[in-house]
Amino acid sequence: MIAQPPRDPWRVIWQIVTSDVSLAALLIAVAAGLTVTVWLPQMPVADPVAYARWLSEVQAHFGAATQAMRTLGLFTVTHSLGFRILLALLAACLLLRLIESSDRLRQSQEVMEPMGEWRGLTGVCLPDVRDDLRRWRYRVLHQPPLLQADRWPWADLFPLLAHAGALLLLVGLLITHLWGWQVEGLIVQGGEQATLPGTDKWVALDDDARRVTHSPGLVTFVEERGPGVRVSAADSTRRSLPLQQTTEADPVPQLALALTEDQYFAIPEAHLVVRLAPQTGPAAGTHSPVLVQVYRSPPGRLTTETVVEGDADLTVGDVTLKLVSAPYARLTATFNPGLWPTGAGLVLLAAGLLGSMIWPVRRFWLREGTDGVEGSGDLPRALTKDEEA
Amino acid sequence: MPVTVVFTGLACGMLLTAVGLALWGGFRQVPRLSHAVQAIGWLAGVTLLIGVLLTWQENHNASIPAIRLMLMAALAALPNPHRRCASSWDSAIPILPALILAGVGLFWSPESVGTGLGHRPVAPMELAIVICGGIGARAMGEALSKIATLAPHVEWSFTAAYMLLTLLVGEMALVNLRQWGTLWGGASGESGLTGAWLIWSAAWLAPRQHVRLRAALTIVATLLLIVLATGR
Repeated sequence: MIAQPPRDPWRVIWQIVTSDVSLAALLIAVAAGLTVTVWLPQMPVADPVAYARWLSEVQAHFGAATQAMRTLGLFTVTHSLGFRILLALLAACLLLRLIESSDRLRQSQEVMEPMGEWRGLTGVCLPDVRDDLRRWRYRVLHQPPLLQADRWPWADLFPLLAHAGALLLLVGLLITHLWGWQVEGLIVQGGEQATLPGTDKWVALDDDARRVTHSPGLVTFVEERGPGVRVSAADSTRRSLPLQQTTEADPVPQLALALTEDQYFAIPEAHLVVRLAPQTGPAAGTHSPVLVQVYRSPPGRLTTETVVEGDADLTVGDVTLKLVSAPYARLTATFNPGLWPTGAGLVLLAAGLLGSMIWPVRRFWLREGTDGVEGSGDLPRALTKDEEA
Repeated sequence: MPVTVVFTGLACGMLLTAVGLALWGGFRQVPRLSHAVQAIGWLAGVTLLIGVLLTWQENHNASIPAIRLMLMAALAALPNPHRRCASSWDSAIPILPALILAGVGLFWSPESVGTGLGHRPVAPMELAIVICGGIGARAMGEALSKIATLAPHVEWSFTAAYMLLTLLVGEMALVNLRQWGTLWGGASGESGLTGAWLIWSAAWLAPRQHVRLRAALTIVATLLLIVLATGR
């Protein structure tokens, strides 16, 4: 009986962790998590308005099952601990595979131990095939009785690139998660500069709401543009009249109103209430017409009604209303310190994968056997076509 | 009768004939019949492509699911001339996804769904997903054939679909990073597309000798792509 050498448990663990099957299993698990989010709307984290809208939508769609699904974490898949653990395991697996890939790149400089079963190749002559392989851009190493052919170094470099890229991408995502933030639904009016809550970063809009400027490191995306006005009122002596949007609000000489919906304000000294309604239509935009209705309060009777476009002055009795167009933009502002690692990781990953697909390693070995030439490994079709036929 | 229905109906008939011929040829051991099957596949693919172009010319609305299904069926129907079939099943099964897609497209008439969507222009990204779904459907047909025959041959459609999907997901992520500053732009389809790419990556990584596992993963990824491409 031949005594088998004891198996090194660390080597076994290493082989399992760095195997293609482990990586494939992790990718499938991550894919399952992501695919669930296509059909199950995920809970918004930062925006309370979006949260309220989401809650009403899921309750209308899933009814009584909503609570149970929420408990199961189906609405917070990508924010769940399980998903994060999966990504951490994926990162660990990629790191170990990166180490192994770099070691393989170094080892592949010389003839390697043949892998796979040996099979007979009919109609193949070793001296001829060596020239053919060089013509097909294979690197050919000869160490009698073995002949190794592969596409080193590029073919071994592409998987390394893909692993490094995927790892860099995950590092970028981690940096984004730890130090990045996003403000959604931020409304800024033309000519205004807004400081983002809880930060020293700012976002500004030009008078026409066309160009957005912001502090360095921010990325802004304009989700929507619409009309807005800057309103002030004066009496017959040109004295500024205070305006009030709500009963609790302090009276101010000028109001900036983004017309995302109908807006109301009062001129308490003149006993007037004003309604501003954006006129939606096919030509709706930043300078679309605005319906202005002025009510006398009391008794709440409509005094004046007109549609204005752009800047306008409106006289109601002794009061002159000055409306200056100040269109608004609804923005998403993102601060992402992981932007560059993520982008670089993406490029490396794509380049590595595409390179591996176009230029695979295709390592194989040939030798003179008793019945002719034998081959093992990833044999090209040109050498095996006689057997396949 | 709408032009879509005429061309899809014709293509369905051709594909059904191709499947029937492939099976009959296999059982009767008629070796030259595979060329006829391939020719009919080409003809069905071209018919579907002409149908897509004519329907698009009529409506200028490529966002309707019927056109997308037709385009995917056309890409899935065009056979690979270098492919050698081991059995009757091996030549009949790859045609099935194209037949199913064309069949669904036939009963999903543009009139029933077109009005709601209006004349919305189709973004290049959506078109790329449809093309990817079509090539994926081809790869799915070949994967189904592998399950039936357990033949571990490598097909170009598998690599082509994965390559296109990699480019698509990479481009989408880079555009999101540039526009939004994050990897996700907020659309639900993005995570589905990434999911399909990850499953395809798993299929690509899976050992070659595990034919059924690779094939099953390819089928799951393609089905997900087709669902996303039809905009469901």
